[in-house]
Amino acid sequence: MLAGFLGIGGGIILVPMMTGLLYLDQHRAHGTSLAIIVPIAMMGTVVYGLRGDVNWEWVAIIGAGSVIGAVVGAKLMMRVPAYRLRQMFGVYAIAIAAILFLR
Amino acid sequence: MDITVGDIFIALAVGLIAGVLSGMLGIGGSTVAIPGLVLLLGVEQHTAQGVALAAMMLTALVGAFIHYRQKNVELSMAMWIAPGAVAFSLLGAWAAGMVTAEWLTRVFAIALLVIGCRMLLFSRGGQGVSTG
Repeated sequence: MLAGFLGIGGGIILVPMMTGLLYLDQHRAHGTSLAIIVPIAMMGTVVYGLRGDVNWEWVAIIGAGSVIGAVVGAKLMMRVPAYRLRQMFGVYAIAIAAILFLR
Repeated sequence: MDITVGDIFIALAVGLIAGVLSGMLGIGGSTVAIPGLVLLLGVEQHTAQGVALAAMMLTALVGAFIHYRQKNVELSMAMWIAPGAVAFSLLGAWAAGMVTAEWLTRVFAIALLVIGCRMLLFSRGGQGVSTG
């Protein structure tokens, strides 16, 4: 539940927490994690927005790409078996760990 | 700052990659978007974080909606985890400015390393997949 911690997104903690502690299956953990990220990102946007740290031009461009990507990714997930999702998530977690060590 | 046509293409590509990962792995995608904005587009760190959060809000909303229609959202679980997660994220944002940040980052990195290795090693028979 240490979401948003140190500027790192919540999903990387939420997903393993839900599969490991709450025994949710991989597909549902990914979907539920995304739903929880919505209010977290909303709060963050308000805080950064009030400080004037949100450049809406960049949001529009990055957002256009990422919203399309999210639709593709969410639909694609249904075709990926749970073990493959775990492998992908594992690689992602190790990559982030490596970046954290190196920075 | 001026945004060139080339920048727009790079930003779209960064967004697309972040979005696919987000929808697929249930993450926000800011771990991709922030370095993309800072390193490839020269956006200042704080602005990059703000932009990533705002873009992430839209991305997660759309991704969660699709997952919901695919019956992959445990709404009741999301409801009782979300308030705590929001509270902790505020706490985390506040604590991020403290001296212990570097030390905490190390601990966090080790935890992630363990989580990642576990996911890889037990990808076929881990606890999480047993309940189906």
